[in-house]
Amino acid sequence: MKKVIYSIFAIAALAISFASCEKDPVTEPDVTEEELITTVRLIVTDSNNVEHPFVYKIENGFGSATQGTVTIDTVKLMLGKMFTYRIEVLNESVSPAEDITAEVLSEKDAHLFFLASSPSSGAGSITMSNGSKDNQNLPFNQTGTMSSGLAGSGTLTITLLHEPTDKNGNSTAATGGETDAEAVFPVLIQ
Amino acid sequence: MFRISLYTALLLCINIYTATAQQCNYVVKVSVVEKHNFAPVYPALVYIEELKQAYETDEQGIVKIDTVCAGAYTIHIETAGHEHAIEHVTIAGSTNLKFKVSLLEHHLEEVHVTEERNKTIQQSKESLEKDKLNAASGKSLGSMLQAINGVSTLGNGATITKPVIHGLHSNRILMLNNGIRQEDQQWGGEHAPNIDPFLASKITVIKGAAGVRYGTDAIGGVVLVEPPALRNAPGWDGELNLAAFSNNRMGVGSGMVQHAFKKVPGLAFRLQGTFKQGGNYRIPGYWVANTGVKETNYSATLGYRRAHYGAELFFSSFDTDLGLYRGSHTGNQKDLLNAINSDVPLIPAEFTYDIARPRQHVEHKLAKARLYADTRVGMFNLVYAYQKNYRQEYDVVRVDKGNAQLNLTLNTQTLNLNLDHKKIGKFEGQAGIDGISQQNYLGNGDRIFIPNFRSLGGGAYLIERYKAKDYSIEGGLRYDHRYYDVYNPEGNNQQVVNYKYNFSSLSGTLGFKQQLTDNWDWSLTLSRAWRAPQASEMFSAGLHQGAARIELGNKTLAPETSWSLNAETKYTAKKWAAELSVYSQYINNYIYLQPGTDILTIRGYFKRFNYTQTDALLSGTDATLTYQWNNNLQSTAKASLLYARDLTNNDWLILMTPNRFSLGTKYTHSISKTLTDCFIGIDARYVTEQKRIPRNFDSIDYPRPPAEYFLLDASIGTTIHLNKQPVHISLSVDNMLNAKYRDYLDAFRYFIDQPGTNVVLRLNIPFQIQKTETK
Repeated sequence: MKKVIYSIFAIAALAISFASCEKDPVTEPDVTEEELITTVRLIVTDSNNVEHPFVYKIENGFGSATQGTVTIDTVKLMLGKMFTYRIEVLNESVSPAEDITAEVLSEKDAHLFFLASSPSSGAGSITMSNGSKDNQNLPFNQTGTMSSGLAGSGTLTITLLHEPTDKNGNSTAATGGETDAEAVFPVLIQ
Repeated sequence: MFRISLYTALLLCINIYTATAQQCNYVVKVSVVEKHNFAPVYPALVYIEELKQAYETDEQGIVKIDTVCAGAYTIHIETAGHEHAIEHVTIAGSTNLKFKVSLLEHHLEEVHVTEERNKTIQQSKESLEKDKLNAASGKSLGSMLQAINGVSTLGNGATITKPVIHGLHSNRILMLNNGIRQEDQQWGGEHAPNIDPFLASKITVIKGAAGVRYGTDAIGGVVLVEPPALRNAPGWDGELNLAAFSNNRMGVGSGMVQHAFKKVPGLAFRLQGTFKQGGNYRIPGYWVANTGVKETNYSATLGYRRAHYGAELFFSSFDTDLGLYRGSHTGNQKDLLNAINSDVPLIPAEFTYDIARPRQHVEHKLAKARLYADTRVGMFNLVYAYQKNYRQEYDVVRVDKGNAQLNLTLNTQTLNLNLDHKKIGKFEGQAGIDGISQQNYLGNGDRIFIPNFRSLGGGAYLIERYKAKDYSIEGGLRYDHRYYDVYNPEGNNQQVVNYKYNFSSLSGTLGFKQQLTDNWDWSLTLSRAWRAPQASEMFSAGLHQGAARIELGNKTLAPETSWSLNAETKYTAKKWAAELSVYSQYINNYIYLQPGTDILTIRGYFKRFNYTQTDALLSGTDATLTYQWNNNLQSTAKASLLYARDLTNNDWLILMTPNRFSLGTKYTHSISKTLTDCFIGIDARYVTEQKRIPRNFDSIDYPRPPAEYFLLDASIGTTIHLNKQPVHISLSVDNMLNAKYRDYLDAFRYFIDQPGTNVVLRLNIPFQIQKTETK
């Protein structure tokens, strides 16, 4: 009987050592950050129908250990003028660049572009109005109009929010939601 | 509402008591020894037919049964390799009973089966026995273990909890599920152990470094989840457990059935399954969005044992879906700050059982085969196990295509050959070898969390114990080697770079235990353990969801090694018992996250944390004092203190358990033969505010650790014997005062309070189909 037991032990040990020697190839997965955004583009159109694009780009986007090359344009506008604007979001880490705007548009009820000017009025400020609406007629703001204030400098922060709890909120704290992109453009009004 | 029911139940107890004043407070101590050499038998099953209640002996072969009524009883003793003994006793007062069991095959007298399980090493430990597990049934493993002094929990709200032993957790604690190292990607606070506590009849926590028997990673301690031994005597038995939780409207059902065949002596099987479903839980004033949980587990065991050899097959499956509070996923630091500064939960919710994103789906499968043989040299044990852990994380995404953003698979094979050698003079001990092979891989298109890796490891150990009359000395030594082959995508075009690592180190233990008098002993243990840095600590390069920070791995991390010294003393007098344990643990190359410079991302600036190493010293004490007022009333006071220092920076360590104190009183009474073990208990817990925080705390974490809190829990229950069928029923109330509090080690402390009042109704029905019923 004992011999039987010993042989079972020996066979089992052998079988296992063989099994563990067999090398399954470790696959190298195609790792891509899903839904990565690298760029927020603000396109301002003046009364003469001339488009002025401004780029806010972090090469590695988000979730990376390094930021890569950072490109931040200054939004330069003539003072006291009216403009129309549209915002585009892109993933430029792939070639050709992926336009995420369409995806956001198709899910517009769950998204909000929140535009905030600092200062909110006076020198260096930009005032937004006529922001586009979502399917529930709530603010979406992907397009709209802008009017520049007095000469001076400031910042324009464009935040793309996902699943905001109150789209009518007057600050990102009030709108709630998760930030998908936040672009802080320097502003120069002259 | 529950107060009324508590009163009624109490009144009921007292009424019945006065009506049928019968003596039911006897304490019966049963010790089981081997007939010839009087060695204690462990584990042996002591089954009382009249009560339909089974108990398991401890390492001294002893079972203590409280509140026994006077009367005649039939006691069965079942243990591996021994004859099934049946004894008839009459209980007329508190007494000590001694049972002798003889070996199945008499002609081999000098050979005797030692224990089914390997004895745990001589170290500070505490167990939750079957009755304590029943009293907490339906809870997660992590929250159950809180009942052990020195153990607290870490987690994400009420859904994910994991144990913290003496301030250490996750990859510094080893969990053994039915003797197998649980390999289930416990890489962070969001990863709870995938073990169904219903399969255990006993859960033991070994506190402090215990690497020598169980291998690497056991720096903080070991959790042993042990199922009962399979049935020996032919027949059927089983158990049904039901629990209903009011807070998240959770229902839990668990059943077990086992059988030993009459025609094939020694052949037995057990089937066990658990289902659990709960919805959103409630904190004082609010429902918490997306915190539902659903769990389906089952296990099967098949065993064949003879007196000197045997085999066992075990398979278990754990499957869970759980929601994470929606408000804990924040886009950037500003979102996080908004959530922290809000007085109300930012995501409004109603009750629902539905689970949405962010959610997790986790599966754990374990298959184990074991052979054992008792020889002249000793008991040989060969265990092979294969486990597969599969984790899916569904993040909040812009466009829900139904897929998970993380699909991790971890396959592990382990092999252990252990010899419990026969006594050589006064020496007893064990030696063995361990092997491990592991593979971890991501799914295509996953967000990067852990790179793909392959790992091989091996170890060998020897533990010897010298046992004199009133003292024993134990020494153990172990050597482990671990090899890692890592494939990490790096840089802007995510080129896969291959890294190879070899880690090896010694583990050891040296312990002394002395019995000073019959009721006073003390022990001193010095032990060393180590762990290799984990893939997440070396390679993580990205966002830590929920904490809104970027964590950066360090490819040059060295293994963490720990020396721990533990002194313990136990004193038992007539009325009171005291236990004091003092420990100090030095951890060389303690791996932690150090704040670095901020990084600009498309979502704004983020805090960047780098994995780095320091030397740490964790010291503390666990004290327990029990006072027996009379036969029925017992009070227990516990204190657990921890001081965790960063020696290199001469500072406190971050995220360490604050001091905890608890006081409990329990009144137990058996009223009549139909109503036994009536109890009412109340427990108070007090946790201090953690003020021992690093100097730079404000620049790395916000807000400061939450305030102290005080909780009150109560429970009431009894065993009803309905026509010889016992039914254990209990009603307990957790957080009776609906206290609003937050816990420092809970990742949701930034966003929401801890759960409010939770009323739990539990039923435990053991059943037995007597073999005498067959013709």
